[in-house]
Amino acid sequence: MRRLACAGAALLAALASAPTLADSASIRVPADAPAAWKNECSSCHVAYPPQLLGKSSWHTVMKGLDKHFGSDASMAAADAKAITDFLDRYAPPDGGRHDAANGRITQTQWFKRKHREIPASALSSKEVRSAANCQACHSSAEKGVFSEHQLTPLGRRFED
Amino acid sequence: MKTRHIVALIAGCTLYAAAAFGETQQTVLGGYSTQAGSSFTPSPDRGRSLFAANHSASADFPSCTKCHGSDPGASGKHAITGKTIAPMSARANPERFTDAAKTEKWFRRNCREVIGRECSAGEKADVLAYLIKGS
Ligand code: HEC
Ligand code: HEC
Ligand code: HEC
Repeated sequence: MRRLACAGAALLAALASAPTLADSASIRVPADAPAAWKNECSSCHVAYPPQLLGKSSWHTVMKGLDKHFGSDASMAAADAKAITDFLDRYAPPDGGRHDAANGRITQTQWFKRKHREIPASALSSKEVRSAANCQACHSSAEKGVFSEHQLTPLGRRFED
Repeated sequence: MKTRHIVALIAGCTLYAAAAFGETQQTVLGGYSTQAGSSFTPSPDRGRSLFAANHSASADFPSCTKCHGSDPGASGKHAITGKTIAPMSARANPERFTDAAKTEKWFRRNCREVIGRECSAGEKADVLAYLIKGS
């Protein structure tokens, strides 16, 4: 009986940490996010939760911080290491729908599927600026919440 | 006797002013001024010009004001991502320039992006003089 309970708990834990979690609408920012991630990765845009991009894709991002999508996001090596370790803990494994060779979440299969009903022209319209500007449409993006029930007025306009 | 009183009064006022602006802001500004040389005096006007001028390194953000806005007392908006950036004026935002490493990191990044090179110590002192005192 105790053995069964343990097996059940292990299964639940495995399910909870499985990459499919990112498919649910409630991706949360993990509680052990290091200060470097909170400070550095949220200064120019909302800090994208680690669950949104595959492991190797994150590595691509972290290796090119000096030429980061047209910006200079280089930082102290110790900070970059703490951030990479954190991303590694929660990133889905390679080979799934979260891969993007150029490190863009907005280019993943996963992102495209979630937004398949939104025309590309809307995602790059003047008000939104860029599909990567999650908080233009998702009111709780800073907490890592992207539920279709928590949209900004602008986001609601694109809802089906 | 009399002059001594006046000297003490002036020293007191200077200290008071420094405390009012935030001690660390003065230290950060002072650090750049010292680096710029003994004959250097920071100029808020030069700082304002550098901040508002169009430079040529980036088509997306030719000026500092493209992201920080033309009124340093108000919030800015990142030119690419649209993210809100808190006001740059120390008066509107007392947390500004209270962490020398942070200030230096952003000068390095932003000057390279906008002007295409790092800013000199004198230029940084000018910009801080503008944002701490002149805005
Ligand atoms: C100096 C500003 C700056 C900093 C600091 C910064 N970024 Fe970015 N980041 C950008 C810009 C600009 C873009 C491009 C946004 C766009 O195209 O809309 C971007 C885009 C991204 C993208 C791709 C978004 C997409 O799907 O299109 C990821 C992923 C990303 N950043 C991760 C990070 C991480 C992780 C950190 C911290 C280590 C970080 N960024 C720090 C400026 C920054
Ligand atoms: C132009 C507005 C817009 C932008 C920008 C945007 N989204 Fe969305 N997103 C939506 C809308 C609208 C929905 C609901 C789609 C529907 O109802 O079909 C949605 C749905 C989602 C969902 C599924 C939610 C659910 O309840 O199933 C996720 C996850 C998501 N977005 C993540 C993101 C992330 C991450 C970013 C930034 C990298 C982003 N979105 C940028 C508008 C946007
Ligand atoms: C592409 C957008 C962008 C441009 C252009 C830009 N900045 Fe910034 N700057 C930022 C962001 C983002 C931050 C960090 C967020 C914050 O501190 O609120 C920042 C922070 C700073 C800081 C640190 C302030 C502090 O609290 O210590 C200084 C100094 C600064 N910028 C100066 C400049 C100067 C000078 C220019 C022009 C040469 C410039 N910036 C152009 C985006 C920009």
